[in-house]
Amino acid sequence: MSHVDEGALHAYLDGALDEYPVAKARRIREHLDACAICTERLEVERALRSDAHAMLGMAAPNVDLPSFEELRAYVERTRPAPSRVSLRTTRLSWAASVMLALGIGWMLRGGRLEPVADLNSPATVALVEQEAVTMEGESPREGRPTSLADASVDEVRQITAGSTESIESDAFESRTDLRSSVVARSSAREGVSDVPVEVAAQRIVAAAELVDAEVLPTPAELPAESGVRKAVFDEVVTGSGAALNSLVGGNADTVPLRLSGADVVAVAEPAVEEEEARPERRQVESPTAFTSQFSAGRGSVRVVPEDDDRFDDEPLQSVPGFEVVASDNIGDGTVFLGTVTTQRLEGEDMMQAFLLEPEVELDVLPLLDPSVNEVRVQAETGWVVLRGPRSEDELETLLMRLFPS
Amino acid sequence: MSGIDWNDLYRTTFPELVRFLHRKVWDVERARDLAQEAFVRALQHEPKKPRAWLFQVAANLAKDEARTAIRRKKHLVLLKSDAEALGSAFADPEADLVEKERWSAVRQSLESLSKKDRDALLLWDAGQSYTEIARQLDLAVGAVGTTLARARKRLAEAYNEREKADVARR
Repeated sequence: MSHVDEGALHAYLDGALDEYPVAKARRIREHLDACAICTERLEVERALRSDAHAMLGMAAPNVDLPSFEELRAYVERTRPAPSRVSLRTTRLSWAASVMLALGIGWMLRGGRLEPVADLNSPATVALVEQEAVTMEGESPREGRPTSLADASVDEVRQITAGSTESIESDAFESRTDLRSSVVARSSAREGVSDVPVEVAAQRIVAAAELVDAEVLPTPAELPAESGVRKAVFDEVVTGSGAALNSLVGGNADTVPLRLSGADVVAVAEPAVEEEEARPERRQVESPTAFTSQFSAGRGSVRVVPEDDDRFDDEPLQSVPGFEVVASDNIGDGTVFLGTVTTQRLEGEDMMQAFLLEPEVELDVLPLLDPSVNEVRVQAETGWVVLRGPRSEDELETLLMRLFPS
Repeated sequence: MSGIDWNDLYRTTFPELVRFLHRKVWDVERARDLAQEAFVRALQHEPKKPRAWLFQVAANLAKDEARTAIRRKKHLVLLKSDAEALGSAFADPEADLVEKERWSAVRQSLESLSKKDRDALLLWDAGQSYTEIARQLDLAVGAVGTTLARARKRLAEAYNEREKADVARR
């Protein structure tokens, strides 16, 4: 056998020969026992290893061990509910219905009541999903629900008692349950709209075929009557009428809900649901920046809000060793479908790793750009798909790195 | 929970994780926070191979600090009192300065290594096996020793060069 290389000498010193193939490890040990030259080299490498270890030790902080029991108790307290999808669905439906309601409320502003027929006209559809609202002013009166999301329709009516604006909601209530709650909630908005409000981080859902991103308002264009002082829009998400319908909790047989004209709405609602810090939002400089990269996809896949962090904790959604440019959840409006992580391969070359939920089919993904290849594997947790401007062999290697075991 | 002795794993791995992270973020408190965050996630996910998983998550966290900053803050508030009760490692300003100079020397020496060499060295120093390092860095197990040999040599050279330069300046 020729002399042992430096790597093997370090493996020997590190006690890692057992991790080598048995025969190779045996040959190295036998050689070191017999070769004076390599024994001498081993001592040189031992000194080097010791020096490096000491240098690293100089930069070792004193580490206090925080209480594990407290850490575990914290994890138990904050463990997510078992059904993530249903949570998401619930949150989206109420938020969307409130947005739609308030859109109607806005349409009705000034006491003018639009005919019901307008709701079904082939006009622009624009919904804004509220992400966070903070309010100044008086606290909610005692005994009242502190959030519209927590309030039943009847409670909402109670909240609105004393509102200066008359809402003829009965006409709407006869249409569908959804619309009745929508209108009731819109009147609730009128009841609180005189309180200064700041809306941060909103989401706009618009029908692709009916609305142009250019018509969407910038925050400055939001009507003062809406009670909104500030609004930041994250993105525009497009979808078919049916998808929008499902977003607001209707079913496929229902006529898509639409608002009239170019009304893009913003809403005001007491924010008491969460006290925790929310992720920072990027400021949108131009309406065209709203457009989601998923708007051209098949089905109705779209990026869902950044603060939907249920899957942010998944450590396997990015390929180790590559810069993560973006990481988003994807869904079809009501159901959480998975995650997509964009990573920089090199320069401007990006790859995307999609991790879909079990049972979710591949056709929810955007069409494959001809300039990129795709590899995929069906794991226990669902499809894992990697796309990027590399050969399939290279992508396959990268794909496998998503699975540490 | 699974059959893993989390308490024992925490006791043995947490300091190594902080050491590992410290060489990436060069801030003790941040390293502690990130290590705690990694453990919070591990307890939530209960991975089958928690040790390797923790280091992988920790590396990702260090890389993606900005994105997780807010959530980390949220997660770790409860443990703040612990850290405060134990006091800062650098209560003495003079010792603080010496320590920081030393860190700076090691940091700059480490930065002269290639990323792969540096990561291999830090993972090894944090107690990872060759197999675990190979998996994380996409190397063959047999290549880890060579990588570590090169990294150690380069680190020692860079540090000694720096020392010589310091002496020459004085």
